[in-house]
Amino acid sequence: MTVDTIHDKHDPLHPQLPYRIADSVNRAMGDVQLQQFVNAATTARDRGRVETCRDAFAERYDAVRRHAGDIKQHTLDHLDIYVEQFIDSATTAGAQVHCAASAEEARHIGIEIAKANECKLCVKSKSMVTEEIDLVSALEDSGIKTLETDLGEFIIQLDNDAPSHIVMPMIHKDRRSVARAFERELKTKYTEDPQQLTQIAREYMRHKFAQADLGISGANFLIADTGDVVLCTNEGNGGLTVSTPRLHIVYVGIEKIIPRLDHLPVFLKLLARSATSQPITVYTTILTGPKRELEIDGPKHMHIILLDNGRTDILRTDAREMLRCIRCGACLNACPVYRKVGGGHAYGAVYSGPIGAVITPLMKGLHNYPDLPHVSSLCGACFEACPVHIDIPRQLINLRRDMVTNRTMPLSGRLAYKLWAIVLKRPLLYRLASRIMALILRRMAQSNDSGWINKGPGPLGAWTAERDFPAPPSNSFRDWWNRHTGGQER
Amino acid sequence: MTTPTHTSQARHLGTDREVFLAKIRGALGAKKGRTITEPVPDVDESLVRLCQTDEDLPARFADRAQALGMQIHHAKVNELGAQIGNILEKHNCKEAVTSIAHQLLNKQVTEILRDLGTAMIDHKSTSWHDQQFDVDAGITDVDAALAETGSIIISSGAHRSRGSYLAPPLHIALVRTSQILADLIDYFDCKNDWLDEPNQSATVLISGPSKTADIEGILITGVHGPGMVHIIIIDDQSQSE
Ligand code: SF4
Repeated sequence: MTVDTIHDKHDPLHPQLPYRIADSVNRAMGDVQLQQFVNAATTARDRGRVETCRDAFAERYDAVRRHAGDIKQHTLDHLDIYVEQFIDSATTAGAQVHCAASAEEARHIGIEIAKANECKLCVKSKSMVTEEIDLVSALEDSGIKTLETDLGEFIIQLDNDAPSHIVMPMIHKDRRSVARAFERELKTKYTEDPQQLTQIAREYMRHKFAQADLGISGANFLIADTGDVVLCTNEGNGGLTVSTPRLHIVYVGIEKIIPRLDHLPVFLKLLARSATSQPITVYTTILTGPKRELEIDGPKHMHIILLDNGRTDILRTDAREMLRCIRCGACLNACPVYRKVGGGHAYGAVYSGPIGAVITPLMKGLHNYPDLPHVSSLCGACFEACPVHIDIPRQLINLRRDMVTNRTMPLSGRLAYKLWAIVLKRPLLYRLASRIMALILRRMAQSNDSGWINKGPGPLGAWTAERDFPAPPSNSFRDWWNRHTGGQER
Repeated sequence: MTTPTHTSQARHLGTDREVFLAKIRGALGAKKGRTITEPVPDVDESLVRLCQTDEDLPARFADRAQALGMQIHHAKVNELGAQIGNILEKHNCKEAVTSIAHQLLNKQVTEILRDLGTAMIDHKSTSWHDQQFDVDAGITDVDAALAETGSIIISSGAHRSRGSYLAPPLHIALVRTSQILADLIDYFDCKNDWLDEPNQSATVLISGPSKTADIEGILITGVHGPGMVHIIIIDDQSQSE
């Protein structure tokens, strides 16, 4: 795996590694208002998704998710063939395709192209991949002024903040923080009215679109047999990004490919419904190479940078299905843990929520993110929400397994689980052990009156640093059962 | 397949393509030169089709487009002038750009605008690049429209600019009833048949006015693209009966 060279120690999405979650979780848990905010937004989105999908697909919803998953899985299983086909057809359509093995290489390619074309001002539409490779600061360091044009990303850029949700980047910010940032950075009159704030941003950015000589976007889908690049956006900034500047660079992960154009509707029908409960995004832009000779506007040159950056490492493992992800954000909205801690950049990486909890350790190393596989209650809500039917809970369990087998977990932890396994296999021993444990734990909980154990002794201290443990009731379930069934154990 | 129009010498940066592909093959345990032996999954229409071809397509299109936040008007060919005039007047539009591939329709709209006294901005002039952000309205025709979602589909070409339907605050789209397809599947099965010109570089499906909910989840229209989209449905089918 490549070592990123431009880590900013204060960047919450590219923290110093290994990343431990305790601090950001405690911060997020301490901010009740933020939690309520994120909770309300994600709950509403989740409910919207269920309603729109049920409305459209009725009892076929699960089958449609499985179908979409199958198409993506087929593509991943033959990704070598489809990537090659895509490179050929996009080249035939007039685009130049470049291959980037790492984040560093991807940044380098883009900067080289921009410099060779003497670009000074870049307008950028929202793209998770460019966040992943930390592109914007690299462009700025090379003297290419770069403007995020998605409203949420624009505000985050102005306020020197970081996105916290893959679809709703500023889910953690309220209108007052936007108002303050605009007043301070754009020197406009203070207003908290979202309509007026949007208007201010619109006016500011229109001039930039007219001046920009470089447009950078991501891509939601690549079509292998036509070389098409598909962008799904709601604001229209994606369309403008590929309309006014003379040069267009697309940054995209290799997993975004689907075989044919006729496969696209399956994903269009699911993506917006899962992400924002819309039947389809407002703008679905399909690009086939650069502007043609007779066409009126559009970029003269189009470059597509295909990114690996750890994806082949995932492809190799039994976590391959993770690469089906179409970045809809539905698993974040459905996740009870994300709802609690998601607003605080707790996942320590660009991809947050259940999807992030799996792919971040896979891409950046389990030893660098030892907490993430545990940031889940394994309730299964993410699996049910996922439009490409990724079994995220199973993948989380696999990661936990890997932590034990490859010794990412400290010796004390591994020993504890070993001991636990021995006890679990022997009913008598289990009964005895649980009695003793209950006694000790209740004693501990009494000492702080909360009914919760938030500081364990000795090696348990590490475990309780990130979790609280409820004090056991004075009667165990087993006792209760025996009393109510007349001692009939089953 | 399309031919590139700008053949700036191809220079590939980064990892060599063969090395890059070899790494993917390595991860999959695949050999170079292998072919796909299992069938490529076809789209299962019985699962994903959401609009049947025998539905009343113009009615469903109008209904869905409205639900997406677009305004619907109906016109016979000879009523087009009055409709366009009403919309432009209502929104106080003094100038407009036309971006219409259909020749007859283009001629007709040009005459309408002349009669209305609306200033016409030429997107083929060199000043268009800066001017597009000051034009009051863009008037376009479409390649096709979708009853399933209420979307309109526009491709770029020699007569249609990308900016004309994105930059002005108001977009008027002219849809002929014969252009309305049932489902997304029907369009993507044969996208090229619906293009106004072959070998074009951009097609966009537009499904509502430009939207954002980034600030506290509150829905605002018109953030970058047009905040208002008016669709005039021109009945070009019933006269022939
Ligand atoms: S894992 Fe599934 S639900 Fe989560 S973002 Fe990806 S596609 Fe959406």
